[in-house]
Amino acid sequence: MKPEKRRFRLDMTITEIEEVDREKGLFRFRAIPDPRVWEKRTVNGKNGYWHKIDNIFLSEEELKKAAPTLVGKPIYVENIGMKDKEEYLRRSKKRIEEKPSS
Amino acid sequence: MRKNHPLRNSCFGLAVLYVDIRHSTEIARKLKGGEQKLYYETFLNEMISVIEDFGGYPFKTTGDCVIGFFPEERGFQWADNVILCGSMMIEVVKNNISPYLQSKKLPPLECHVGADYGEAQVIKLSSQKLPFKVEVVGSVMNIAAKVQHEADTNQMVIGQNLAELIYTDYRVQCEHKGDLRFDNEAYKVFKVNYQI
Repeated sequence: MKPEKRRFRLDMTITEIEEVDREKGLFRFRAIPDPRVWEKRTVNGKNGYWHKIDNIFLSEEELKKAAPTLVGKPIYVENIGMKDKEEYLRRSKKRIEEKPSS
Repeated sequence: MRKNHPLRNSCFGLAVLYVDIRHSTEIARKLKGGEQKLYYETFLNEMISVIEDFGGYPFKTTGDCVIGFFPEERGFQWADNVILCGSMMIEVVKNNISPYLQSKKLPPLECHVGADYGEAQVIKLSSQKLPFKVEVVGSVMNIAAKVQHEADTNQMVIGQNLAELIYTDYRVQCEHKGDLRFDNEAYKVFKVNYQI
C-alpha cells in the first residue's frame, strides 16, 4: 500500500527582473531553485541541485528540459500565510459563543 | 467566494485532513449527557467551520473526529491551505474552544491533526438508509489516518507526499518525526512547527 505520488513542487526564487515589453506585459527574470532547500551540487559528474530535506538530485540538464514547458503558463498569485490571525480568532470565538444550543 | 468543486472524476488527487479530540474516550466517560453534547458539538462544529474557511470541504464526522478534503487544483494553494487550516485548528482549540468549555465547567480540550496527499475515488452507496450516499476510498484515506496517530497533543503532522507539495516557508519548518512502513519502505512523517 505504498502511497502514490502524482506531483512535484519546485519553488523558485526570482531575481534580476527585466522588462521586455511593458504593453504586452512581457518580462524576463532569472529563477533559481529556492536555496533554503536546494543546494548546488555535482553528482556523478552532473551539475545540478540537491534537495536537502528530500535527498533528491535535479540535474541542470533536467531543469533545462522543463523550462520550455513553462512557456505561456499563467503565473498564479497565491496567498502565503495568514493575514490576520487575531481577527480570525476573534471571529471564531464569537461563532463558538453564539452557536445555538439545540 | 468558494468554488463549486464536485468530486466527479473517478480517480483524483486530494489532501485529507483528520482532526480529533485527544483522550476523548476517557473524558466522555466522566461527562453527563448534556455536558457531553456541548463538548462534542462545540468542537465538531468549529472544526467544520475552520475547514470551510480555508477552502476545504468537511467530508464527515466520525465520533470525535472531523475529516476534511482539499481537492487538488491548479497551483499549490490548496496544499498550503491544509497547513494553514491544521495550524489554525490548533490555535482555535487552544485559544477559543478549550477556554470556552472550561468557562462552562467542562474539562479542557486538546486535539491532534494529521494530513496527507494521494489519490482517491468516489464510490456510490446503494442503501437509502445511510446518511451518506457516497464514500471516498483510496490509500490516502488510510495513510492520513495512520499519519494522524503520530501526532502528539495540539500538534499537526503530515505525510511525505503532502510535505513535498507545500510552500518552502512551511517546509523548512517541518521536522522529521518518524517513519511509517509500507511494503518495507519507509514513509516519512513530519511534525509541522510553522506558527500561523
